[in-house]
Amino acid sequence: MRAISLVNRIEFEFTGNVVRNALCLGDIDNDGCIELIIGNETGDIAIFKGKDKVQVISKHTLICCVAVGDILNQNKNSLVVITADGWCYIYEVPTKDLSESNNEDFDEVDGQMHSSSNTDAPASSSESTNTQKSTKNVESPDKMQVVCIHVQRIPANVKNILLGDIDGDGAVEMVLGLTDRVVRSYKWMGNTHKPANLTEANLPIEPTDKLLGKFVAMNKWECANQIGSITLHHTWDGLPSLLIAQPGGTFMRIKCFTDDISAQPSVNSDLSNSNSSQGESGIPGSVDYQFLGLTRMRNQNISTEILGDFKNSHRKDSGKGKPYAVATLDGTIMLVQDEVILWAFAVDHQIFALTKLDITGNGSDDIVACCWDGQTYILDQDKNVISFPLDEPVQAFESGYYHLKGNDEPVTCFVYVTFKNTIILYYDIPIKDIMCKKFEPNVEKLSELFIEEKGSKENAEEHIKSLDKKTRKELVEYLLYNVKS
Amino acid sequence: MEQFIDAHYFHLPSQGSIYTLTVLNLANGSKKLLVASLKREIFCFEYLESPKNYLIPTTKEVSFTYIPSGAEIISIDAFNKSSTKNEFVIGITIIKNSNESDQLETFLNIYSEWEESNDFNIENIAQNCLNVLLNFIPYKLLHTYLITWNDNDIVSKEIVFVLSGSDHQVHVYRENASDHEYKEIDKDFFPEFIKTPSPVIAIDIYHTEDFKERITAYACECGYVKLTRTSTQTNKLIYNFFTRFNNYISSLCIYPEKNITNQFHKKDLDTEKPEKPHLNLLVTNSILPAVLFRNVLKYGLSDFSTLPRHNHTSILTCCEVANVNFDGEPEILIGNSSQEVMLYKYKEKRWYIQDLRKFSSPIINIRYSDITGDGLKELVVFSMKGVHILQHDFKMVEKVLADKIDKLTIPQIK
Repeated sequence: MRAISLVNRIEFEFTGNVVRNALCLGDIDNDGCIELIIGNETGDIAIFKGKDKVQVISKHTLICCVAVGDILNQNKNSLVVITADGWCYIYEVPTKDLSESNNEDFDEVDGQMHSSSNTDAPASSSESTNTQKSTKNVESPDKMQVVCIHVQRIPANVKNILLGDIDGDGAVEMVLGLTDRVVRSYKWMGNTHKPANLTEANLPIEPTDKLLGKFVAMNKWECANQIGSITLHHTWDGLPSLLIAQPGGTFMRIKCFTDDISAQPSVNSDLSNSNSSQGESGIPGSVDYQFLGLTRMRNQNISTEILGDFKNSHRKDSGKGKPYAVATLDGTIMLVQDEVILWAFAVDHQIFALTKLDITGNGSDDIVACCWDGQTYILDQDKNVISFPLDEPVQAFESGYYHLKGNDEPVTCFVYVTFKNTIILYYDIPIKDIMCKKFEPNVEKLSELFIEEKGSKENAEEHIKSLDKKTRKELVEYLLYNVKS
Repeated sequence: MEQFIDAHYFHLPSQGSIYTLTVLNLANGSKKLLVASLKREIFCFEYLESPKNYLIPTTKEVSFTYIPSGAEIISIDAFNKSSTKNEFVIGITIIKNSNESDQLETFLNIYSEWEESNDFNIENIAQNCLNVLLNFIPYKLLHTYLITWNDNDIVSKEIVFVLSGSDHQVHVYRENASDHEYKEIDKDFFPEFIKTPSPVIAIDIYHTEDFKERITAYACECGYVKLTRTSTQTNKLIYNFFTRFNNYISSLCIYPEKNITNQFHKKDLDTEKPEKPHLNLLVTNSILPAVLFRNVLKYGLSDFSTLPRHNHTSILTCCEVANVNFDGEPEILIGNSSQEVMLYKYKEKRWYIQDLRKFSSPIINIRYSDITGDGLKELVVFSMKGVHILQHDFKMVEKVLADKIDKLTIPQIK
């Protein structure tokens, strides 16, 4: 197996234990740059931007999940923090940064354009346009500070979070997995009388007031076993489903279309037949278990991670769903497509984190799986592997993109939370190809050397092709190292 | 050094030293790496090829016999006795830490194949050991030719082990085939090694004049560097030069300035022998800048230049001279303790640092050798934590190759 060592890294100091889902990469200040957010057992949340720690929020209890997403459905990101004792916090950077990012997007376009584009967004109003205008160019994005805008009581013992559009209605929902085998989904309901858009002037004094709105519970599903992880997956025609990892490399699939989506005839006639019946009967969604050939192998109690929606630029077989990955703690990584295991790869380390990242930049997502001892595996969708040994135990892992400097392109990164009170962020992972090859000289070019001797181009090419490996190797070596350029 | 791409890295369970990396040159032209770490593990690294033409890196731990637990490996060296087949001899120096007494026992273990064969089986070699008990702490182990002359004809060209030690001497071990043992030979065969002021750290030997002469350079712990020219026919010194640097010298290297052709002779792909070699000596000081002595056969140690350093807090540990950008001129690669490999280039009559590449741990050795067996050499960087293999960027190599072919095939307009 090919292995690499990584050099480019940043170390951040961060004390305290971090649970598996209490870190994420996301753009919380909506300036187009991705930050790292991490929370610990004692309730501190730190936000890292570039090479700096920009903000620490403390006085929480054990932080079990952090996530960044457009949960308020305002076309801008917020930070959702869940504590183990059942509090859900929403943090946001006050609007002035939104105005800046919009300025970047629209460049020379004036406020008129803004207002027309923003009126479509549910959250904004004509007032918001005014605030945007007035706060233009006020502050540099470096001084980003998030403020709490909402606090809500939710059931305790959350372990997983997922922000995403699970029912295909175009709005982002929050899905929580709990340690008591329950999965709940919530939807943000904005207050109709809420004060325009959030600015520093009209910050809610008490976030618990629910001035802006509140999360409304939508669904509750109970799993048979402990939840490993939750992921959002889309079928080939774009219908979302939730995949809940269950022990033993199995998972539960929840389809939760809203009525109007599943009833739409335009989606696809042959598949919507089954779904439309559910839609009409008013039951939102269906649940099924997938065992993925469980009986053949695997300890049935081994905890499992799942990750859906793998991009693939090569496979063009329409009618098939996107692949998804399943990993078990005993070291099996599987790539599955339409409930058929494409391949399985076994390692002798305990995999606890499964992420995806297009590390080579070829348009296809690669699997990045991290083990408790720091061993990290990078697999492409053709089962080619690279390993990276961190040589240090890891308590949480994430891969993704990160911005080192504001205006730069985002770079690939691996984030490791170690047990030594440090976060190690490896950036700009230098992998262009997953597999290495021998150097193959261009036969046509090489044959030019022999045209004179062999008479014709064809003969010369034939001559090169007929050379045995050793002679060709010596020829290449001679040309490269002994001939003047 | 953007032209290099990380191809592979393998981790060593314990740290190696500047003496514990060697390349095995097999008779069929392929190469393997043999890497030893302090705590007894020795790994053999090679590239295999998968059916899809992917390179599969393979690291095998080889369990050499007669290396007791608790022993530590100091240095390692290997050579092929046969020129057409594989008949490898591997030398490993160890320190045995015996608990009963405070005495340290040191050995030179020599492993060899029973007979020459086409196959290379390192497991067999590892089981066939000859011990030489040493009465000093071993340092660098290398091999060279011991040439016996009869008038102007070479009678025999034996390969012998050269081992420097803490007793300020350099010992030469020669195989006694009839007794099946290795014996230290008389110091007269290598008169250049008489009277060294302190333990010898680094040695490099280069044969010229059809093996009639031997150029030896060595560096001692105290910073003493000596360059000698010895006749292999009479075993007499022709001349010697010495100088002293006030620091520990980590490595040195004699290299010929290559005669590069712009002709393409298909007939003799073997490089022709240059008439008069133009030898340079590179001395890597650990704290002071590295020094390059030019054309030592003509000017001795008088024509020298220093290689600038970009920081003064690191320790230079190793050097390699190689033409890594295919321009025909040698470049110098120097590794240091601040986890960098520096690439030096000669331009406008001075050496300057052209490029730097960072690694994940301090560098202790560098080699530029064709491990993949494709004609293109790879950079092997041995760091404290493991071995890094770096391949050239193929796009760049393809361009260089195309340029070179154009130069050879397109008639030049004068």
